[in-house]
Amino acid sequence: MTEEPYRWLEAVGNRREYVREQLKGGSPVFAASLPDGILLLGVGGGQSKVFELFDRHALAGLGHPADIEKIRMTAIDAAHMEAFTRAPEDVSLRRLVSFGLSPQLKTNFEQIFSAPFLVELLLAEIGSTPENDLLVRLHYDGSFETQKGGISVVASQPDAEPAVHRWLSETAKGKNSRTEMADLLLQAWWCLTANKSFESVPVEEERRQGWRELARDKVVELGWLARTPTRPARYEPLTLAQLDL
Amino acid sequence: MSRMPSIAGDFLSLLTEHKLPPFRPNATAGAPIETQATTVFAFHFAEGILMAGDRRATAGNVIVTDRVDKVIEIDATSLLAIAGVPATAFEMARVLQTSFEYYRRSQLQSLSLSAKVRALARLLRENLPMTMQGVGIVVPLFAGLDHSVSPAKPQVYFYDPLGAQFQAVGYAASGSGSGTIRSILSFQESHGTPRPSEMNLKQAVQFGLRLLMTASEFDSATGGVNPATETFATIKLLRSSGVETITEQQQKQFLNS
Repeated sequence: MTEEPYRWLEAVGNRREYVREQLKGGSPVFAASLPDGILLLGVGGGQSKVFELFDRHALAGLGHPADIEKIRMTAIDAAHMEAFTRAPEDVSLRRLVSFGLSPQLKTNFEQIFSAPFLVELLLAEIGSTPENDLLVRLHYDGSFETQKGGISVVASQPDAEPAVHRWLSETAKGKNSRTEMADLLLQAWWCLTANKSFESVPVEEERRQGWRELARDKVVELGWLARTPTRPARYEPLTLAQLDL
Repeated sequence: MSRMPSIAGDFLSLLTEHKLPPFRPNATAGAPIETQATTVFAFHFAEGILMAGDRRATAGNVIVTDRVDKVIEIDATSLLAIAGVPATAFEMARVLQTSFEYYRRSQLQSLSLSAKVRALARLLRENLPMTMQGVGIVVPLFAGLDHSVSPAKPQVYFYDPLGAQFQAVGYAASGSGSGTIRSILSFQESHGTPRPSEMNLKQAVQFGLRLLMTASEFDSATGGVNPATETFATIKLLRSSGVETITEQQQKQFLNS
């Protein structure tokens, strides 16, 4: 079948549809660059969605837990090997994604007789200033986009991402504390999960009440990459209580 | 994409898979003989453990430098004090640092204190050929938090060059100046007031600095503490909350107060 080019294209197209269908209903994850660090946020039903990768690096993702786990382990292995054979400062997200994760995800996606990875990922690297923070949006097929600082979103439906990104970028202006940002990201999470339109977003009070109700029986995971180094490992898991939320 | 390592979360296995074992199995017969001389020690005080070391590195009768840190923070709750051949000792510290963090991040939990203590014993055993040939001996001290009790309790371990590990009840010392240190600590523990385990932070730091001053009087390979020349020690604390460094400035203040 795959000897014929159009059959191969059709098979790859089918895989895209299959992956997108499988990712429907996945709980969105976020990363936001702030003056004091990078905040990562995910809401799940007990399965972890936010992880520490290395000293200055963290990962958040949605998808099948086993696939997220495989990619997490690959990234951790590569980062620690790099740090040991060279130096921890040489571990960079750009290299980790460009030369490690992305090619492997692409190869896997195009091998149409093996199961594709059911993941959408967000990787973060803390820099010396917010402008030097790096956020990478990595897709199941190995394609990726990078951005310096700002806010990045992974939604289960790719169409929703630009709208929520625009809304968050606009609404987050002036919100520099972890508490304010976590609250705002949770509002965006509620809007996405409850299928609210970002063209006519509900008022703030409704959004806040919405996330509190919807997250009541779920686990809100918060990860913090601190900008000021008190220790080599900058990552710290946070709780809503720590942020007075 | 990812393969299961032979031992989950074991960084040494990962290094071996990549054909990068940290220690050579055999030393060459013509390897130069390196001397080792130092003084490191740790003792329990009222708030946890104080671990300290002088900063001198020697090769024979030559002083190489007086700015070496021999007490190393392995992770947020572990300290290593090294005595022995620096090249091997610093490599062991690097392996432990990466191994502990690799396990914590990959397995999503910290290594137990017992596993950390054995990890160092394993490195010492793997270094046995170098130790037996007298070119790579390392006799370290290790301090970590025992999380099996609440609040977590700091503990000190000492090793022999072959990798046997022993828990220190009150104190431990290693290196060429350790005989002096052990004598003073033993005397203070039995007859002194306050005993080291009863000392507050200020008393413990002062005591630690004076121990090193005394050791340097009797051992030329131990760097002394001299506020006049801004020569201080490396001092780190391990409390239930984790590791803390006593800076040179703080040492100066404690000595002058």
